[in-house]
Order: sequence, then structure tokens, then C-alpha cells
Amino acid sequence: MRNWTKVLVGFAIGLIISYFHWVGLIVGGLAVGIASRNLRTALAAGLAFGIMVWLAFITMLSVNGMAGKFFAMSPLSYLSLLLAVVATTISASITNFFSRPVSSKT
Amino acid sequence: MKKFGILSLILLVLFLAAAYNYLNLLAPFSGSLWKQSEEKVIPSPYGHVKVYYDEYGVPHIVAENEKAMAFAIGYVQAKDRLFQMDLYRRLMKGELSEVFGEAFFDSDVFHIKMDFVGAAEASWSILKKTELGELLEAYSDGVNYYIEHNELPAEFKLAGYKPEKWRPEDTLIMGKEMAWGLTGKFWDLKRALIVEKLGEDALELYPEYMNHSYPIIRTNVVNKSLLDWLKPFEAKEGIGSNNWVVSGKYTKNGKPMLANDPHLLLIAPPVWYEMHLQLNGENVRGVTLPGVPVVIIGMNDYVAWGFTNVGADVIDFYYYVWKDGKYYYKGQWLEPEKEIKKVRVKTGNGYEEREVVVEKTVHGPLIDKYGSKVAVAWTGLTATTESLAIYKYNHAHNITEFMEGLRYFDVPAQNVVYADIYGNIMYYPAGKYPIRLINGEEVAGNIIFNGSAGEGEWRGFNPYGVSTWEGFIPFEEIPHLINPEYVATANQRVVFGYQHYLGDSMYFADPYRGMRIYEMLDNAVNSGVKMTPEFFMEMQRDVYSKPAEFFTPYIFEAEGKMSEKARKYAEELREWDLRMTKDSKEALIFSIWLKNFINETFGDEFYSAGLDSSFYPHLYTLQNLDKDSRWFDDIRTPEKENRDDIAARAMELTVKEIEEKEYRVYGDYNKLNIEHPFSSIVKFFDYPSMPMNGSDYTVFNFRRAVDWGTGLSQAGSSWRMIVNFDRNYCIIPGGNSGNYFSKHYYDQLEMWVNGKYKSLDFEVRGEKIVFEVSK
Repeated sequence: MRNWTKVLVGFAIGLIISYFHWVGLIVGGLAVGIASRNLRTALAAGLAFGIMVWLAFITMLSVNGMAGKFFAMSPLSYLSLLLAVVATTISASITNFFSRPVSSKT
Repeated sequence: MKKFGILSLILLVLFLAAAYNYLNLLAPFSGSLWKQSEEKVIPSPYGHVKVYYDEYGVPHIVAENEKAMAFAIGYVQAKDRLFQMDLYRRLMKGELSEVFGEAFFDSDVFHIKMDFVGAAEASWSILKKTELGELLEAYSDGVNYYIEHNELPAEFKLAGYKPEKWRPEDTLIMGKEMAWGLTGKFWDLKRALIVEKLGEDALELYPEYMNHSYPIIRTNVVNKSLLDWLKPFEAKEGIGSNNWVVSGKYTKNGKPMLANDPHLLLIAPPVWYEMHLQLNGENVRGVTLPGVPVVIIGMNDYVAWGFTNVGADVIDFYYYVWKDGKYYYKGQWLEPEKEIKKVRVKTGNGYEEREVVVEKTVHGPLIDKYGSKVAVAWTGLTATTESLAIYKYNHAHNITEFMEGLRYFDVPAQNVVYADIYGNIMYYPAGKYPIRLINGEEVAGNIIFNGSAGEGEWRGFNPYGVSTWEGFIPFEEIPHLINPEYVATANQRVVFGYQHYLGDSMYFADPYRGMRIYEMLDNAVNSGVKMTPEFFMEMQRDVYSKPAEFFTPYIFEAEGKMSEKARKYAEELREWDLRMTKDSKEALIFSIWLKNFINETFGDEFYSAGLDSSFYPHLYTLQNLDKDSRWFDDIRTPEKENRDDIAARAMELTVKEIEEKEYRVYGDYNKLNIEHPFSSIVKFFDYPSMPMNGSDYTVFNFRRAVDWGTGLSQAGSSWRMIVNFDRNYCIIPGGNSGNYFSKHYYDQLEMWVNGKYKSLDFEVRGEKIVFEVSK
């Protein structure tokens, strides 16, 4: 499987788990990190995954007519974004460090 | 590389340790703050119930038996208003500081010393034996099922605590809370302080009666520090209401018509919770307090009823001779009943346990602060049965059954208006009114009584026990009207020339709203045009200012003493229609002028004596002061001022305020700001702000700044209801749900602001949840 496909699979798994529990942010972060070619792309993928989960969440709130109220909760609404991206980015860096020799061959 | 990996791992662990609670609360999707209860099938031990939430989130509860109904009411109220229920419970039990910190410790001390819990337990001791007893238990089970099995409202998650189980006594304490909020006035103490600070002559400002023609029925014991401490806990000025009822003789459909709008604190979520109950094909709909399983104001298939506060004096204070911790009472030295209660207080350094000493005399709880020691007798501090009364209203089929309920209504004394489908209307100020005696002579209750001599005590009143009430005005002797042509109440004096004392002028509202309502009703009757619900809506939307009618001539008389600019402002009032509308500049000028006129008249005397504006007399008293009254003289100046001088000065200040604050119209100044109890911490729970019509004295009632003791809040119509049995209407100031993310959090607010209504009907509709019999 190509790297970007693995990253996408990591995104999907992380998103599904995140719907039920925040541990999905960690799992997703670890998954996209392991699939990334180097630390830089792992960090970028982790960050992107965190933002994507948050945007998906905002989309769901919008569909339910709750987005306006969510943003009115500032700074709590933005804290939720911060928590998501920090959790996913750190997680992505962990697996990438451990997986670097493998990922560098592909 | 692995070394860096381990460092990242450590970083993640540290992040999770620091952010664990925040992740649980705020993580996208799974954060508990975003979750709402979605249970659709609920097991019930009592029977089958269907609950339909309509387009405004009003639950229509259809039950197969009454206990199943009570369980479902408990569940839906917890779902929509659990935090509010718990907050008021904590307030009355003195448990706020446990979760909200030591800023609330004084509130806890006051409520513990008053022992409202003991009073609610006394009520439960008699109510549990009635038909209401098992319903309150089933209701509590419904609340507790929700607490155990569902998402708690966001406020609990932010405050970091879980509510305790609900008990029937907690429901009864909600009634005590409302009753205290309406009748727990410390006016007798204030009156004594006014005499001490300003002399006996100052009592001219607080006459026994305000000399108006619109009654409902048209025929060194205290110190300032104590009163400052008590101020946040007493019934608030500005809490009032309107209701009126008109015979079918004057209505278009030939049936009686009834209107009610109780004026209470405007808060998010609203004071009232709307619900419709259907049992055995019979309906009742209206509003209740969250925590109470019956409709307090509303209608059923046969009868409709509404309340305003009578405001009567149902609280007295007693002083004693003390020696070695004992008080003298009718020839004996008695030890006050003493109990030490522990309060858990959240502080910056964790939890602390503090002690509060609760002392009681034969008359009631002792308030002992700043060297003052008085006992309080309040009609709510005994077993009371108003919840049974309201239960009987819900089930009444006719006036006889309704009146049977009225007899149980103890506290807070309420101006009850009634109408039924048979054409009857009624006005009855139901409640318990104490008769005070000194040496066998009946006396007014606006003084502090000598408790040692047994003066003024209430016969048949047993604090925290069961009272026999023989020293109170008998139910039949309470002035009332059965089948009058029409009657209107707006917290004005009930009747003139009544044989018993009900309260001095400070217990009753200024007569302006009462005058205006009677004027509108009189005009309608005299015109011969039959009244419709739309006419009642116009009445409830009415913003004509009676004070403007009476006070603007004073402004015009004073124009000669004004600067050119102030005179120009005064002249703008000449063509004014006297309506307090949000787009009116004249209403802005008058409103600010009136505030300044009151302050400039009384501020010099009162503030120099250490008394704040809460001691000022009624506006109607100011209106009727002689032009050269001594109260118009500014004691800080060598000149002798009269009303014109003060009116002119007030206009100069008004010009300055309007220009400095860049107000253009009344709505810039008269703004709705409904706050949530968490408003000082986070703002998002607050309702949107918007310009408002109305004032303290208009029928469409909006009070932009009520002194709450701890700050300013707003008050106004907390429920507008119009019933003519064919088409009925209602609205609340906000929404039925207290859950921030609900679409019903404030979906009625704009309609309420604009004086619009929704239907008050018995049609069952909307999204359904079901209560199935649990195995």
C-alpha cells in the first residue's frame, strides 16, 4: 500500500474512533505517523488529521444547527481545536521516530 | 532516533495527564460538553407514558395513570432544567459554597440559619399522607432515573460536580424558594432604621395607604450593617405581576377571559417551565417551577387561573431581653433551641468544613449579626400545603372544586383570578394573613415586636411544625369577589378600609399598572365593543406610562429654571404620546429624568444618613409630595430648593448622561440583558441582548435594573397567558429547554420581546419519547 493510502486509512480509523472517544485522536495520530515518510511529513499529517477531525466535528454541528452556539463558546471552542491538534501531532511524531528506518526504505 | 521517540512518548503522557479532564470535556465529537440526552425509550416502574415535544420544546405528556405521569414529569424536567433545579435546591439548603466557592458562604449561612429545609420537611410530614405524597415520590424517581442514566447538563460538567438524588422535600423547598422570593421582606427592619436615621417625620414618606383610587377591589434594634448583609436574600423590589379577568358579558365569544403575566427575575433559562399533561382524556397546561410536578399557572378543560403576588405583610421580627445566652419570654428565661450545622466550602486551598450555629426561639429562627439579634416569623416556616392547593386547581372541574383548593393555599399569599367554561369568574387573594395583638388590640405588623412580652405573636403558628392557624384571618373573611363584572390586580393594595392589617404602603406596589389596566378595561366596557384575545394582547403590550402622565407637568413647570439645552430636551416631551417604546427619544429623556429626579430629591437626605436607594419611598409618594416639601430641599446647599429646582437639575443631569453615553433612543438605554447564573464566568449561556419597550411602571413590564443586593438584574413578564377557552395564548421569556445546545434554548425570546404569542392548546404533537413499564 502506498504511503498516502496508509495515511488515509489512518485518518479514517482515527476519525471513526474519535467519534466515540478522544483516544481516537491518539490512535489516528499514531497511525498517520507510522505511515509518514519522515518526521516533517508525520508532523504535518498529525496536524492535518487533528484539524480534519475538528472540521468534521464542526460540519456535524452545522448540520445539527449547533455551530453558531459552538463558536459563541469561545475560548472553549478553540480549546477543543488545540486539544485535537496537540494530541494528534505528538502522537504522529512518536510512531514516526520508531518507524523511520522502515518508512525510509519505501 | 528511538531516543527522540521516547521523548515524544513522554511528552504525550505529560499532555494526557495535564489535559485529561479537558479532553473528556472538550474533545471533538466525544467531549461530554457537546452531548445531549437522546434516550427515546425509558423504563418506568409506574406505567406507560408518551411524551411529545412540540415545535417549542413543550412536553405534552400523555399518561395511563397519575404516578406514571409524575415519573415522566420528573424525567422531562430533569432533562430540560436539572441544573436550575439543583441550583435553587442548593440555594435554599445553603449548599452553594460547596460547589461555587466561598463567595456564596454568606448566602449559605443565611439560608441555613433560616432552616428552610426544616420548613420543607414539616410540609412533607403532612403532605406525604395526602394524594400528593406518592406523586411526589414518583416524580423524584423520575428525576433520579434521569440523573443516573443520562447526560448531565453542561453546567454540571463545567462546575465539576454531580447532583445528589432528588427527594420529595426538594420539591417542597422549591415552593419555599418562590414564597420567600415574593414575601420575605425586611421592610419592618428598614422602617425602624429609617426612623432612627431620619426621625419619625420621615414616616410621612411611607404612609399606611397610598392615596389612590385603584385598589383591586374598588371600594435600635437593627443596624445598617445587618440590613446590608440581609439585602441579597430578601424579596426584591420590582417583583410584581398583572392579572385580570373579565366576565363573558363583555367578551366576543361570551365566555370569561383571563390574562396573567407574573413579573419575576428574567434569567436564562426562565423561571417557568411549560408543560401539558393529559390523563384519562383530561388536560391541564401551563407553567410550573422546575422541580414541581403540577401546573402552577394555567388552565385545564374547565377552568383557568392566574396569580399575582398580594405582597401582604406575612413576616414579623421579634427582639428579646437576653441574659447569659437565654432570652426572656413571658416571665421565663428560655434557652434558644440550638443546632450546629456543618457547611462544606470550596476554597482556593481545597475544601473546608465550617460551622453555622442555627438558633430558634418560640417565634422562629434568630438572625444574629453585627450585634443585632432578631427572631423571624414567616408564614412559610411551618408546614404549608400550597402544593396540594395547586394540585387541586389542576384537577378542578368547576368553581366549587377550585375553591376547595384555595383553602389549602398558605404561602405566598396570591391574588388568584379564576375563570371557567360555565361563565364564572372570581378573585380571591388566597393565603394566610397573621393577626397581631398587643394587649388584646389588633396592631399593624410593620414594627419590630417585643418578643419577650409576647407582643404581636401569631396564634396557632408553630415554626417548623404543623400550625393550627387560629390567629390568622379566616378564609371566608379574606376580601374577595365572586362573579364580578371584571377585576384587575397589579400588586396594588387589595382593598381600602379593611378591618385587618394586610401591610402598609411599602408592602404594596405603586398603583400605576393597576390604574392603567382598569382604565383600559373601563374604556372597553364603556365603548360597548366586545373584548377578544387580541384586545388582551394589546393590553399586555401596553407601554403607556402613567408616571409620565403625572410627572411631565412637573418638568414643564420647571422649564424656567433650566438651561437652554435642558429646556430644549424638556420641550421634546410636549408632543410625546407617553409611550415607553424602544424607538422613542422622548421615552429616553423621561426615563433618565425620572431616575435623576428621584435621586436628586431623596439622595441628599438618605445617603447622608447612610441609607441607600433601596430605602426610598414609592414613586407615587414622590408624585404627591407638596411642591415645597422639605424633601425637595437639598440639605447640602444653603438655598432652599423646591420641586422646580430639583426637576430642572434632574433635566440638566439627563442631558449630560444622554450626550455622554450617546444614547439616541430609549432602546439604546432600555436593553434586555438576560443572564445565566454563570454569567460572571462565561457569557455564552446568556441570551442575546436586544432593545426593549416598557418600563417598571408599564403594563408591558420590563425592569432594566433591579437591585439584587449583589448587583443589578432584570425583571419583567416571566409568562404571558391569555385564556378565553376557544383560543388561548402564551409565551415565556426565552425557551423551555435549559440545555444550551437545544434549539429551544431561547426560541421564544424574540417573540416575547415583540409581544407576540404562541398557542396554548391541548393538541398533542411533536417528537416522541416513550416510557415503557419496566419488568
